[in-house]
Amino acid sequence: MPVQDMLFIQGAISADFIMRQIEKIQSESNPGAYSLFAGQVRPDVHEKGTVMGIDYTAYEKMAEHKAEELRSLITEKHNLTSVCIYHSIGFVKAGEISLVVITASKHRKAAIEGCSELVELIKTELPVWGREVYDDNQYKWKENNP
Amino acid sequence: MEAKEITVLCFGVLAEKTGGATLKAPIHENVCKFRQWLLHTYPGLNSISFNVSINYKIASNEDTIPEGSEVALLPPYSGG
Repeated sequence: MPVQDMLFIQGAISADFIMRQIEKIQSESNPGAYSLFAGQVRPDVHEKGTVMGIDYTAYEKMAEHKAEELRSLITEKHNLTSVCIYHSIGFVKAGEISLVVITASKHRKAAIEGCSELVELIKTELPVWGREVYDDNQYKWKENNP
Repeated sequence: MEAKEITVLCFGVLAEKTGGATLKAPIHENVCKFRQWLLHTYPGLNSISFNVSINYKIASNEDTIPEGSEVALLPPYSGG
């Protein structure tokens, strides 16, 4: 499994950045399939107002340990050639991307299943916290749905 | 002799409830006793479920807290 150089990205994750990671995987390993998950901040409307963005904080050292553990687990279980996890830290506006998971494998089924399982594990096991910021500057700590 | 203390990292909503990103706590026999001290010292924590981690691993109530370890309070995760 090629080493991933970083987990956290300051602010939103751009489409250009995602494309560059795919190009990197292309040159590192010769997969037959990629699966990509990108999570985007929704402008949800709550009783407090409309979500303008999410401010992310993390226990970075623990998250880095945990991300490596999850990458190894998923790589072995699904026989993947590459696994990348990128998560935003700091403020991400509604309509921008804050989580990217890319898996690659020889065949499509392994890449798709590995990506899907990894996204669920990230939601429950990565020590990251999001605070939804509303249009009147009030905020609420986000809760992940099962 | 000065009583030994540990520095505890607080994240998410817990940092607000305890008034900062870190807090000082006396050494306790195990995580259970440490939790009791926390809830007594910071009553605002009673309404929130949280885990205690020791050296980046989630600890159980029976675990001891070795001297020099990195201890953190983790509310439910909400990344992604």
